Amino acid sequence: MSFEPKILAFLCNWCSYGAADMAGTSRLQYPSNIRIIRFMCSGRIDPNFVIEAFLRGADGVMITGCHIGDCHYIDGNYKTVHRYEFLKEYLDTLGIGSERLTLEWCSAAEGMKFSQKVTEFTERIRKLGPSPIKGDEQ
Amino acid sequence: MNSKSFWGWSSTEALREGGESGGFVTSFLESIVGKYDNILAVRKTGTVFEGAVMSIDSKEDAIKTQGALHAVCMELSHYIKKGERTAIVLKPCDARAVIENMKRNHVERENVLLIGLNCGGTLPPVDTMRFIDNYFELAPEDIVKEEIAKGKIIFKTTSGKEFWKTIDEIEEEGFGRRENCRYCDVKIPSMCDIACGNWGTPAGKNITFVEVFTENGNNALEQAVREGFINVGEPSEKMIAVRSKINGIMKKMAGGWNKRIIGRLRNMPNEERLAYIKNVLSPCIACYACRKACPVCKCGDDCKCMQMDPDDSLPISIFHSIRLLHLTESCIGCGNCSDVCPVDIPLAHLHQLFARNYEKKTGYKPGMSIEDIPPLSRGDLPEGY
Amino acid sequence: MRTYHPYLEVICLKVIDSHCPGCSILCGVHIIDDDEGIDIEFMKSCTINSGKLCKFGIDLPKFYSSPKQEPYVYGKKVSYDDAIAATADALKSWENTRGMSEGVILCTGDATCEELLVLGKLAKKADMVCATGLGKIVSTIGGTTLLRKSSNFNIIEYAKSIILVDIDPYYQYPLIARKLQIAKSNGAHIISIGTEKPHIDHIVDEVKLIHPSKMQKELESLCESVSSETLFITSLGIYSDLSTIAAINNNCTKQYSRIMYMKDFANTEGSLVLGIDTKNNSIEDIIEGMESGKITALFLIESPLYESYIDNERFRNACQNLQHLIILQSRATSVPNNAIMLPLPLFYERKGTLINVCGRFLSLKGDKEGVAGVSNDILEKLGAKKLSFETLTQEAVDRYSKWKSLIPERSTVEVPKSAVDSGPCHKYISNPFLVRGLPYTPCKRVGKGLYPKAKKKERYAVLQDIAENVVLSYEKDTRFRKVLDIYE
Repeated sequence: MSFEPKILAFLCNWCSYGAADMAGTSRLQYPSNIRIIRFMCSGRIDPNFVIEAFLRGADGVMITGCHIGDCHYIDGNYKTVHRYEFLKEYLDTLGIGSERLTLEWCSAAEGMKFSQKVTEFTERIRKLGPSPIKGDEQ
Repeated sequence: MNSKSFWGWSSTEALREGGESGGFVTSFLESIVGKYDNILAVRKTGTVFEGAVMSIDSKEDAIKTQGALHAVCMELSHYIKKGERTAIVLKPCDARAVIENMKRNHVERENVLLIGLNCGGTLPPVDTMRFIDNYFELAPEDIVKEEIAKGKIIFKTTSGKEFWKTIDEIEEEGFGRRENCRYCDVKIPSMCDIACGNWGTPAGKNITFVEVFTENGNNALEQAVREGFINVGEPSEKMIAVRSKINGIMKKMAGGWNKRIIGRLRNMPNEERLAYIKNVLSPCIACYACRKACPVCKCGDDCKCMQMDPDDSLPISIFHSIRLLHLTESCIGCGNCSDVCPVDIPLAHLHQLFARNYEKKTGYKPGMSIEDIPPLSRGDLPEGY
Repeated sequence: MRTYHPYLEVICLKVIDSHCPGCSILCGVHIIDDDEGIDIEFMKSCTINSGKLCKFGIDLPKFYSSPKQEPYVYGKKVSYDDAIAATADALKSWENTRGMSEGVILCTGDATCEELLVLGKLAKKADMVCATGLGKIVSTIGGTTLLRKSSNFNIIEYAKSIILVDIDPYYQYPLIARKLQIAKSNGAHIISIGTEKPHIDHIVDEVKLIHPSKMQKELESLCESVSSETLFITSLGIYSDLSTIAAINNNCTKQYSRIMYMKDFANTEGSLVLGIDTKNNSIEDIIEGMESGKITALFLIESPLYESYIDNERFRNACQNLQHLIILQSRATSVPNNAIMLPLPLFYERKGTLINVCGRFLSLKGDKEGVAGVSNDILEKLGAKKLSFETLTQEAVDRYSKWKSLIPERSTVEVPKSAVDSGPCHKYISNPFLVRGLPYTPCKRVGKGLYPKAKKKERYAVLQDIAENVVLSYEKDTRFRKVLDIYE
């Protein structure tokens, strides 16, 4: 059986979840590999959520949020940026590889961009293969 | 303020002879007795391999703390209580831990006087006992004094004999300084109020080289001089240069060990490093000793790492992954976690691997200054966004 | 928050050199006793453990700061002096019935050598029997052969082959697991025989899962492959199976191999060196005696049996039969209504000497006399002469040095038939928490990487790794929850 990546997406409530909604209502196609978890703000995403996702078998993690300056909570996504940079370094050191994590900004009107980015990211993970931290059995 | 340098020594003749490098620290402690709620230092308890934390209440107490104890690797920072005016004698890693605690609002900067000691590394007590038994055939009780000077470790016995070996020789044989001390690159505690040490003092003279970094430290020192506890002198330009040269040599040595220990992990291919980390963490018995011993880990029993089920079936337990995450931006490399692990997991190396990689990327080094805000707590927008 | 009073405030920071009472390894630990409670500091200079502690050691602050025992007389809280007076009365009335029934002083081992000596003297004076629960094993095999005389654990590190009999270092003695890890890297071959697969997959080379009734045969068949370079490690406690211990003893006697008996209580070693237990009785015998009415008086000293005996109800009911039940206890336990409860100082507060599993003579640096102090108070009430603590210490030192110079004689003994038949049986896995009746959550599933290669499906299927017809003490056993409120 060919490898189907499992991708976990953390979406912010105000913009990127709207973008996903938009993609749905506009009947845009994107791979069904992503599982979406909605957060009130991308600034709520604890680095540990991402690590736990990998430990529990995700092959890739996608964080999306409002564009810089558009955050519903003014500067929530500034924190996301710092955490993203931190996590990239952490994943490289751990040996999972920072390329399995991505950060994208999607506003509520960017359904097209959302579906595009998901497709791109899924393809990237598909090329990379299963996450090295997963046991042999999963 | 800019840092100022002095030569200092005790004005009491007995202390000058009895203490290390002129008994400066002992006399300084005497001078501040009663001026602080709590004065903390390590005292000897019998052998040179054993020490206990002590709160100094009188001048007699201060005298009990004289003499160096390289083989006592205690972490004093967690004895500082919030709201108490505390003076504390510490080595650079302890001082870094105190600074990290200040950033987390567990200690107030204005309440604490940090008396730093230059540190070229500490010795693991049990391994050192084994070493002197193997190479010099001495019993640990016979050792009355140990010293690290000019790249040698020197042991003095009750009969007055000296035994020594160079640090390099000892470390090649697997003994010597603790592994985390070998690659530690903070030898002079510049985050303290004052830093004391014997680097940059003329040979044969019982003198301490003192560097004062803050106004607070300067006031305390001036007062001690005024009240006649210590004498100070101006160090020569040449000796200041000698001190920074020694510091440079020590740092270079640390760099070499860093390449050997941390670099080995860093240069592994990704899969191999991941497998290594999984493998070394696998014998963990979930005793939480590493967490208890960690000087920067301050959440108490309510920490989220304690809420995690130790029963999870993950490749790396959530407990360890949370600790790896948290310490990436705050590990000060004191090595306590490795020391207390009952199954000998090289935790200090792992945490330092993450912390040093992060330091390389962001330039943030934990525990160096209270003004350095960790990147994750910054409210600004990094470049490129 | 403290206010600043430069010359008035005295902050006491009491640092006490102590040893962990968890098991007979007696790991060194500093106890910090300041105004904010009890805490520990790692004693990195201790050659026994280099500062390392297991789960129990880390939990010591919790253990020590749990409520202390208060004096009670027959279910009523009284003052200490009243409780002492009641004890003296009980002893007097016991003197009157002397000869008609038996009395037992039971101390499983959490006491210093001095305290054990006092108990021996008390037993002689009141015509009682002093027991540690190991009487049967001691009288069959000989007390001194159960001991080791070496200064440290290095014998484990340098053994050529190691046989673990019915012991799981991860649950029971994690500090042994560390030594096994070093032994393994020195090239030792490690075999585990027992009812359960030990949770040290990465260390053990060979695992034999067997029912306790077949243990004896298995050990005999092993005889050929054993040499003087072999080290047996097994656990010895009040629930140990005599036939297994006897079989190991015979094996070692024939092949001159070495044994290390790990013990559950702090100073079991001391009680063996001092020869406290003189009568051929096990815990089982004592409880049967209590049930049949043969034993009418019981002194229970620092023995958590009232909380943690395997069949808790049975022990409590048997205690109800007693005429005199006197419990000396440091940490609070439930109060039987026919008992006189006397408080003891906590382990770290006592002074005295201890002997650890390697045969090292250690000392506790507290300032209270423990059982010796309490008995002096009782003796004063009875109008007898007080015991001097210094003489007791001297006696302990003398007996220790005499034992040290003695060459232990080891002989093959007749192996009694195993008490368990091949049917279903309950296997008690001891551990510092379990023997003290404290709640313990073993990290025993696949998680924690204890089974690095295990499949996810097997997560709840660990029971496969237990011999058939065996139930382990911590499996599905919730009775330890009962004492949770006392502990926390």
